Amino acid sequence: MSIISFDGVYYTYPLSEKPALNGMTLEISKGERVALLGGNGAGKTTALKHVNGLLRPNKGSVKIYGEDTRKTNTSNLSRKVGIVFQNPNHQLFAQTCWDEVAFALKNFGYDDLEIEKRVESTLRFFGLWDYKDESPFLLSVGEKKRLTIASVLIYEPQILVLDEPTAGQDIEQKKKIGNLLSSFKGEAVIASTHDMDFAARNFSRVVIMSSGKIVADGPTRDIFYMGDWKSAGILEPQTVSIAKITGISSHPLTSEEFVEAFKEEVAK
Amino acid sequence: MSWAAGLTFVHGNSWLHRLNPLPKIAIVILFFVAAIYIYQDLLHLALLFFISLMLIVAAKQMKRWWSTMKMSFLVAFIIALLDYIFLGELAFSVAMGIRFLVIVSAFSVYSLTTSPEDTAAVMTRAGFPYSLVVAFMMSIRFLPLLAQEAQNIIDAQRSRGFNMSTRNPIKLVKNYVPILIPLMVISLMKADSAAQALETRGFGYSKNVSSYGSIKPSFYEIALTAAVLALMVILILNRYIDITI
Ligand SMILES: Nc1ncnc2c1ncn2[C@@H]1O[C@H](COP(=O)(O)OP(=O)(O)O)[C@@H](O)[C@H]1O
Ligand SMILES: [Mg+2]
Repeated sequence: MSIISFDGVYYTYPLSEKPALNGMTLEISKGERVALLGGNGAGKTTALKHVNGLLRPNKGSVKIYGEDTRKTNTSNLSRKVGIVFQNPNHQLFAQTCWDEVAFALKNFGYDDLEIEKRVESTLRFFGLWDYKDESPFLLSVGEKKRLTIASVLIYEPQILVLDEPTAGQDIEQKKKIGNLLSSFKGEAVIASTHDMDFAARNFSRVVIMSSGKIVADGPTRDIFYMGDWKSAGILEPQTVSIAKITGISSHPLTSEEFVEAFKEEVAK
Repeated sequence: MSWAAGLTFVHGNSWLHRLNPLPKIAIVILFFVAAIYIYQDLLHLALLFFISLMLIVAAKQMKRWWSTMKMSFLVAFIIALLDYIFLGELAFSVAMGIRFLVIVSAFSVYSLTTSPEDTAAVMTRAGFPYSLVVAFMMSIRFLPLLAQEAQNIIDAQRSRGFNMSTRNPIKLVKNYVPILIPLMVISLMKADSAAQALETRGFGYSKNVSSYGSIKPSFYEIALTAAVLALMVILILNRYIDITI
């Protein structure tokens, strides 16, 4: 059974002429890790805001665990769906990092003992325990990003949604975010991204959007080797380009896979 | 876009759009003065509101005007309610609510049809310091941007199970903290980068700033301005001085 289901979703922002979502249909099942790709303005953020009911379709429906988002509210949905938005400055507000990650737990009514336990283990896991009494505003860009992810993962949502998690992050931070994703114990991850290498490394399925519609959907390897998606504003990962030029037949997605494949070809 | 939609400029081709800002400023001032100092009764205030509505229809901006007015109706209702609770005079309280609507509506007529540049040009000609004019212009520019940021912040906090609405008034104020702090931080960051962007392009280099394509009011527009101001003077005199002829 799919746990996220978009069925012919149309959405137009108030006072806007052009629909931001233009008949989007998408099913995501338990265990899937989906990267949502597309150029600027393709509708990725708009689609993600539908997953916890911040936005509701004008036409069509969005169901989370079979529940129509129009028949429930964001507070209920956010219990199951954790969304980390692109810009940490849109959410950081607390006096200390400790309070920042405890915020969601308080909203959901956890007791003091449980809050203390979870905040400590989460901050330690994210490498932020040393900053527990510091202001979130004093952290570096990468640390702020990890803090926002921590402040959502702390309540263990089943579905994790990330909007452009690697935007403005350096290679080290990207790796850390990738590791966090692979350690996620919930049921599904969906992330929008511009970063093709990040998508290729961390996601088994890729969905490409253009002008509010899905134009391609499938296993990451198939999608990137099937054709090029320049018309949707997407450049394949560099590894894929080089593999296509050099004619390596095993379809590597990452530089490590490429090196392995290359060694094999040479040995032949 | 949201409640700020009716307070930001949109390009258009109505006669209000083409009119020089000078008579428009006079008309808005007339609205303010009439609503605050001259008329106290429901009928006149309602008429003033109706006139502003007709101007909006003429400017073909009903949709945006309405998105601002929806919010304003709520505020007007609260104003009227508070007045009624504390003063107990129904007609007066309703008049206070409508007065607020007239002011917002008149301001909306002006801001929907006048580009901030034109306003700035008029202010500079009227002798306001250039830096003040630029600051004024930029704060108007930031308004819709800030509304957008506020929406993003509310979305981010709601996604963490945050719920603003509560019956407890003390809690209600406390509940705005997770919204207001990020909004303040973002505003300061934007102000800082705007200042840097201005300075790197020579802002403040010289006191004598040249202006390009400044808009001179025509004879007819100056006459209109004078007529509007004269009308205002007559109305004030009529209201406060007993001139029986
Ligand atoms: N608050 C808004 N009001 C009006 N239009 C919007 C708003 N947010 C986004 N849009 C428009 O909706 C479309 C999709 O935007 P978005 O979902 O942010 O795209 P992406 O995240 O893929 O860059 C764009 O054309 C954008 O201009
Ligand atoms: Mg986006």
